[in-house]
Amino acid sequence: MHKPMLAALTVALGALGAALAQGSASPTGPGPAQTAVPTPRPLPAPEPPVTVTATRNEPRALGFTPDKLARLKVPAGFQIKVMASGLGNARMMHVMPDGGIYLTRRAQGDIWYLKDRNKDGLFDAGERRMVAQNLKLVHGLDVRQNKLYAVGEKTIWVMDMSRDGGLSVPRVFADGFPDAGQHPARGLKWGPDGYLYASFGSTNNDAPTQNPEEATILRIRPDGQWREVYARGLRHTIGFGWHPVTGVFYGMDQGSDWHGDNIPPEELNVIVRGRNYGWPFCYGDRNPDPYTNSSQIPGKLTKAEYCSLTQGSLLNYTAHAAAIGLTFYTGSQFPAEYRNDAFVAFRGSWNRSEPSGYEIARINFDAQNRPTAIEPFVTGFVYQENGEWKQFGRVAGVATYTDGSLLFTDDQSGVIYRVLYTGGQR
Amino acid sequence: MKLQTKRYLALGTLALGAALAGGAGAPMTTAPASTPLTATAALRDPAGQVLGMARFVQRGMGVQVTVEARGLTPGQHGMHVHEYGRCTPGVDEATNTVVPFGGAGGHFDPGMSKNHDGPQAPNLYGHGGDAPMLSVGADGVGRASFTTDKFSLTGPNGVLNRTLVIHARPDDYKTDPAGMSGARERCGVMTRDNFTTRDYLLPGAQDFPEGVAYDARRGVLYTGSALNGTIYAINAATGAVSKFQEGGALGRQAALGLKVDAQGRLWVAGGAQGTVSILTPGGVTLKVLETPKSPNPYVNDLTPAADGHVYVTDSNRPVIFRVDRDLNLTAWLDLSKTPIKYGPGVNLNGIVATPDGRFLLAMQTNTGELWRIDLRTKAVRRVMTGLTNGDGLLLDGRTLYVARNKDQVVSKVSLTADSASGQLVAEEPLRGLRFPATLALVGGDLVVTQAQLDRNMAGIPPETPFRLTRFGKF
Repeated sequence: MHKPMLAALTVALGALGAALAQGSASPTGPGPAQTAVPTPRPLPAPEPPVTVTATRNEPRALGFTPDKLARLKVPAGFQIKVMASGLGNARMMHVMPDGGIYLTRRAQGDIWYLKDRNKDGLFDAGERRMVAQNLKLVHGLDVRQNKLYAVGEKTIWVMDMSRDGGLSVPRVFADGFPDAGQHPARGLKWGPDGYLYASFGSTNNDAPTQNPEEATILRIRPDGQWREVYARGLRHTIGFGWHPVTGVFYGMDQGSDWHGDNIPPEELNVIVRGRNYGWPFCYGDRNPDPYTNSSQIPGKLTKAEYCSLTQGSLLNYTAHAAAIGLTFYTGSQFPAEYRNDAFVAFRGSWNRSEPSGYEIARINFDAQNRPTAIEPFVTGFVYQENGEWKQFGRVAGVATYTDGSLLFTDDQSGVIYRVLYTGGQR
Repeated sequence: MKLQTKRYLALGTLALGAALAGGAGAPMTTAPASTPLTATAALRDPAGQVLGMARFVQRGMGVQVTVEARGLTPGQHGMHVHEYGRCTPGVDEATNTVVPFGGAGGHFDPGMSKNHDGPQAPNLYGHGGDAPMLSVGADGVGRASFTTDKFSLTGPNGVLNRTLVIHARPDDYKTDPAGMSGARERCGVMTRDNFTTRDYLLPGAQDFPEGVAYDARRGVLYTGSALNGTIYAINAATGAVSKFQEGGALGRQAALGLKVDAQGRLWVAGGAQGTVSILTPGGVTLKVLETPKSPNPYVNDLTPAADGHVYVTDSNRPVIFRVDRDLNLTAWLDLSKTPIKYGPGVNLNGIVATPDGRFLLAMQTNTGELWRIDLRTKAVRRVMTGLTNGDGLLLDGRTLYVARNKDQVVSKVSLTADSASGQLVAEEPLRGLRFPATLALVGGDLVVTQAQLDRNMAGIPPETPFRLTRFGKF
């Protein structure tokens, strides 16, 4: 009697993971490894004690000055310029087809409109203006049908856009989202399916949260009325997007703090509806994290059993590098090999003996549009000098400018950088 | 712990009157199963070898048990019915290590006594699974034959799909949790004879499926987690399961009663959130309707009616809500002005509409009363009593099936043409039901959820995989 039932279960679970071919060639990362339904236990599974060595190492923060530009490294043929500085907590950008840029400033809770009207490559004082304010922790933003949508701590706002870049008084589009806690940087993008996607990080570092909308990507109806949990177990996925060719949904997730220099790595995930990406108990390819409190696993499963139910990452990157913004490059200024690759801003570690991040990285996609590697693109913001680590940039937002150059923000000194491809010509 | 059994016996008889055959208490309203209730357990050693058999024959409200087991050491051996239907290795709580037959769990304890006692103790004061010891002769063969009313093959003390376990040592009939009876040496799952069902298995470890609904046009069964609101779609033909919608969004953190409407939309009762959600056939939330703010809402079940409205029960608040075609929710009937009296526990629960569009039928779980509500006049009439722990309802012509959660049976009720009265015809434990909550009709078959919510409330782990069970009409 039991055997046919087990066969039925295998079929059923196979269907659950049908979209996911197993193995390294998988375009979506390792899917659930579930072969049987784990047995909930009466008591938490015993685990051997482990000791972690963790380091707080915040490099000395230095204000941006033009002389530091020479420290920045870009690949051959690229050039880096500054379009603006002194912008405050410059975080996420949205570039309009006419070159106007909407910029969120999370700490100031406002949105600015920047436009280089005189085409001198700089956002002069007269080319910057605040267009919305009193938006608590405003961060991710996107535009659809002449309306600007922006997400803050617990609210998504919508604003009507006027031709000169001005915005109407913000209206509440959707509300009642979770508290921000430790991870107040929300992401927001309209998806190719016509729904609005927004990410909400965990209030805490490495334990399950009480509000099941935390550590998720939510999918919201186009009228803002209701939403669903699209994917969970995502500690702090701020940057996400859909590949311009394949339409596959990618997101970069930040792993837990205080678990050592290399655990857990930062993750590039393929976001599949209904999946659990493992945080706080699992990292990378469904690896159990030895430093999370196993007694809090729902059903008191073993960590290995719990992780077998989750989705693994597709690629990993250096721990604590702290991915913020992510954008796919669809411009034509850069060499063809960059087209449809993604750029990620790694704001930089504070929790690693040798700092990681403080750079813009490129997610390299191969000819089949599958990601193969995450590699540094703009580096040099962090360095050791006289035995002391120093940094002069915490990078956050990335966007493609109208001419195909790449823009990114430093939220520490309020700088907008611009990376151009000149092929060595000046 | 041994209690002063005698002193408690009298009390126990009163309290357990419903459960004890031959006791002085009032007889429980009951009806026969569709076929005679007998069961068999093949007793295996930890290596899986069959070294004995146990037979179970229903006798009134109790059961006659015959056991023969070989290869045991001579002397007395503790013997008990255990909670779970699996003879697998599992966790022994005392040491938090995996031991042989640990998967059978602790002693079956339908009275929630949390106390080990002797085979004569009422279930309120000792585990229902505390059976007499097995006496093993010099030849290593143990035989026992006894009749008990502590457990049964049906009803709240039902042991189908649980386990009979023989221990290595004698039972002192008092020490928690198992009378110092030592290691588990034999184990057998008590399996009903000559009865076929089909299970649909769910993939999660926390699914606790409460609601079920069937979309005949798509051949899809929907079920949802009472714990986290996740909803699955099950291909009724193949059993393949896919996630229809992850739970957890605002208003979608629990799923109780489910129904599919004429447009193929899935309606979800939101339980303690006080919400009613409507999902499109594609699994997208169309709307979450909120009932008035309340300190203690419990939106339990709902049903579309021929008038195009959907009627919603709340088990804590004495009101029936109604959702109109434009998806506006209003309070339709104030039950405090009707014969339906709300008390402690779960009040109105399962609800169905008669196909002629005249009536609603609603189950009151805590009193076992079935109510008829006239959709035009709102007049309320009691159809029948005795359906204790009645939960989900399924109306098939003039036959009403009632899932009776803690009673571990599905009851069949024959209604009069005007649904004014009903008679209990049969009740089926199938092959063992763990908190059957709701029912759906799939062709000529029924599907029942095994929600295991009593285990969640008792703080003991559920048995996985969670399952829905399909069976023929009876």
